[in-house]
Amino acid sequence: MDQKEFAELYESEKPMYEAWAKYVRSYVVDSLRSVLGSSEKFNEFIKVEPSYRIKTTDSLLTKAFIRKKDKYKNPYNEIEDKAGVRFICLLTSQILIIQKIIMECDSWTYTLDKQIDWWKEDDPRAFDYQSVHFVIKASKDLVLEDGSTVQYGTPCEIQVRTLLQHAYAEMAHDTIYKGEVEYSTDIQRSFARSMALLETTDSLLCEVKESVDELTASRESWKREVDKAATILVEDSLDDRGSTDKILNDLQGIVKKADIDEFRKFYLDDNNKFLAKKIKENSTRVEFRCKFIVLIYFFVKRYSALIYRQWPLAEEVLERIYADMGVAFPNSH
Amino acid sequence: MVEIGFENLNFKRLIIHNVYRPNDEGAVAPFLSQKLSILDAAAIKKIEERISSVLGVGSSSLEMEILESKAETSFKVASNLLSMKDKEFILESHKIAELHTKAHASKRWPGGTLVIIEATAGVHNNRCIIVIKAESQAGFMEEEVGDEVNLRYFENLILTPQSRLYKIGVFIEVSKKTIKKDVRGEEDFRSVVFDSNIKADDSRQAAKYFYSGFLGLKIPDNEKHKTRDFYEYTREFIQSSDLSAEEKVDAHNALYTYLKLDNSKVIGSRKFSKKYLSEDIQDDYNTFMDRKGFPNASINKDTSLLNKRLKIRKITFSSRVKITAPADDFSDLVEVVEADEQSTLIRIKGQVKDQA
Repeated sequence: MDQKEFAELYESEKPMYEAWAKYVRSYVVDSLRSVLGSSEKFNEFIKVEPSYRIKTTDSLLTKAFIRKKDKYKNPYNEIEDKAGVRFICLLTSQILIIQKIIMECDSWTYTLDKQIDWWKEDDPRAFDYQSVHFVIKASKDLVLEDGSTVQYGTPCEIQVRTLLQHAYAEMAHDTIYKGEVEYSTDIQRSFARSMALLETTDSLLCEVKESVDELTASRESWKREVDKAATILVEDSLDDRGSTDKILNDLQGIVKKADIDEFRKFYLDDNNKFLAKKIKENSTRVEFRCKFIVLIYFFVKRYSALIYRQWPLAEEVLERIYADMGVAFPNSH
Repeated sequence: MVEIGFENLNFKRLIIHNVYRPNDEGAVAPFLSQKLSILDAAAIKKIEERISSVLGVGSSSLEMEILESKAETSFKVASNLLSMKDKEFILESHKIAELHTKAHASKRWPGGTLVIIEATAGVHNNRCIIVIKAESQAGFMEEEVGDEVNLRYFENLILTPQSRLYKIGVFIEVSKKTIKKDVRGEEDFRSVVFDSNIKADDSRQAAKYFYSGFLGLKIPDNEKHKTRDFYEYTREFIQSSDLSAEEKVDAHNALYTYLKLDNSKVIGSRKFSKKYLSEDIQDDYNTFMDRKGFPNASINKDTSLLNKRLKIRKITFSSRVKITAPADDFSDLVEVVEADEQSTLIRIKGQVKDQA
C-alpha cells in the first residue's frame, strides 16, 4: 500500500473510527454511572471529562512511514491507536473499577498493553509512567445506534490514568516516549523522581480515601439507625439531619465505641417502649423532638460515664434523660 | 432475680405531711394533710429527678430486707395504700406520718416533710410506694422587680438537689402471690433505701431510726457474699481487660484500696469505676458488672469473707513464678517497671532474706 492508497483508505474509514471511539467512551461512562449509583459519586470519580481522539491522517502517515517505519510489516492494520479514548480518574484504586468494565464488555475483545503493575514483571526498582493501556477490537460487525457500522476487528486504544499520572504524562509521555529527542540521564532521572513522588502521593491519598469512606459508611449507618429509632419512638420528630450530624460529631468518641446492633436492640426492645411516652412528656424542649434523642437514651443506659463528660447541650436535658432511665445523675451528690 | 429499676417512673397520686422533732414533753403530733397534692408537670419531673438521682443506677441506695412483724409497720401500711380509693388512701397515709413520729426518738434528728407517692417504676410498671423525708433548709429567691433585683428569704425550702437533706424508702411490688390476702406478704415486695447517713460510720444511729425504726427494714445478711462477688467480678474484669500489665496491677491495687482503706461503708460498681478506673473503660466495667447480676446501685461493704485476700496480695506469672506481698503497702513494695509478652521487669523493695 503506497502512501496515497493508505491515506485514502484512512480518510474513508475515519467516520467509522470516530463512531467507534464515541461508542466506547459512552459505553464505559454509562457503565461506570450505573456501577457507582449516583452522579455525585461519578463526579467524585471522574475528574476530567472523558475524551476521544482520532489520529489525523498526517499523524498516521508520519507514524507509519517515518517514526516507526521499520516496525510494521502491514502498518495500516498494525497501527492500533487510530482511535483512542482516555479516562482520567482520581486514584489508582479507581482505575481498577474502570478496567473491570472494559474487560467485561461483550462488544469487543481486549489486550492489556500496559498494566498498572507493569513493574512487577519488569523492573521493580524503576519509577515510570503508571497507567493502564488497552487495545480493544470489535468482537463482531457492530451496528451502532446512529446507524453506522463498525467492522469486526476495528481497534481502539483506551488509556486509563489518574489525575496525577495525567499531569506526569502530559509532561513526559509525549516527549520521552515518542523518542524524538534523546534526553540526558539527568532529565530522565528527574522524571523518575517525580513519578516516585506521585506514586507515593497516590498511595497516601488512596489510604485517606479508604478511611474517609469507612467513616462515611459508619456515619451513614448510624444516621439510618437514628432515623429508624425516631420513627418508632419519637412522635412528630423534626426533620433534623443537621442536628443528628452535629450530635454524632460531638459524641464521636462514644459513637466509635458503641455497637450499632446493641443500639438497634435497645430501641426495638419492648421493655423500652415506655420511652415514647417519656420523650413526648419532655417534648416542650426541642431536643426531645430531634431524631437523635433516642440515641442519647441509649448512651445514658450504656455509656453513662462517658456521655456525662461529653454531652454538648444543656445539662438539664441530660439530667432529664438520666431520670427517665433511672440512672443517678453524677452531678447531684 | 429481677433487677429493680427506677426508669419509667410514673406518679399516680401523692400526699404530703409534716413531721416534727420531739420536744421536752415528748413526741409532737404530725401535721396531716386531708387532701391529695396536685403538682404541676414541672414539679413532678423535678421530684422524679431527685428520686432517680439517689435511688437509680450508680446511686448510693441499698436494697434492704423487710422485717416480718405482727404489728402495724410502714410496709403493711404501704402495701394497703396500693389498692385503696383516694379517700382511704389519705387516711391510711396518716399512719405513715404517725409511724415516723413514733420512731423519731431523738431531738437531734430534724423534722421534715414526708412526701408519700404511689407510683409505678421500671419497665414492667411495678407498683410502688415511695416515702421521702425531706428536711428543710434556708435559702433565697431572687426576683426582678421594676429596676432592681430583690431577694426573698425562705426558711423552709425542701427537695433542693442537696441529697444530704432527704431520705427515701421505697416498697416495690415484684409479684402478686399474696394479692388476694387481707395482709400482703413481704415476699411480694422488695425495698430500697437511700439515706446519706448510712454511708458514714459515725451516724449509724441516725440512719437506723429511718430504715429500721420507721420503715421496719434491715440490712440484708448476704452483704458479705455480695462484697466477695464484687471483689471476684472486678478481678475477673481487670484480668480479661485490654489493660497493660502495669495498668492491671494498678487497677488491682485500686480494688484493694477501695475495699480495705476507703472509708465508705457503701460500695458499688459505678462508684468504684468513677474513682479508680480510667475513663475509657468505666462504662465497659459497669456493663460487665451489670451483666454479672451485681446490683447496679450500692451494697453495704462487708469484707469478712475477704480478710485473707485483703491481707496478702499475690501475683502469678505465666511462667508460674509467684510473688506474694503484704497487701497494705503492696504498691510501695512491688513496682512493675516494664512488661512485654516475654518478660516483666519488677522492682522489689528489700533484699533476699531466705529461700527454700
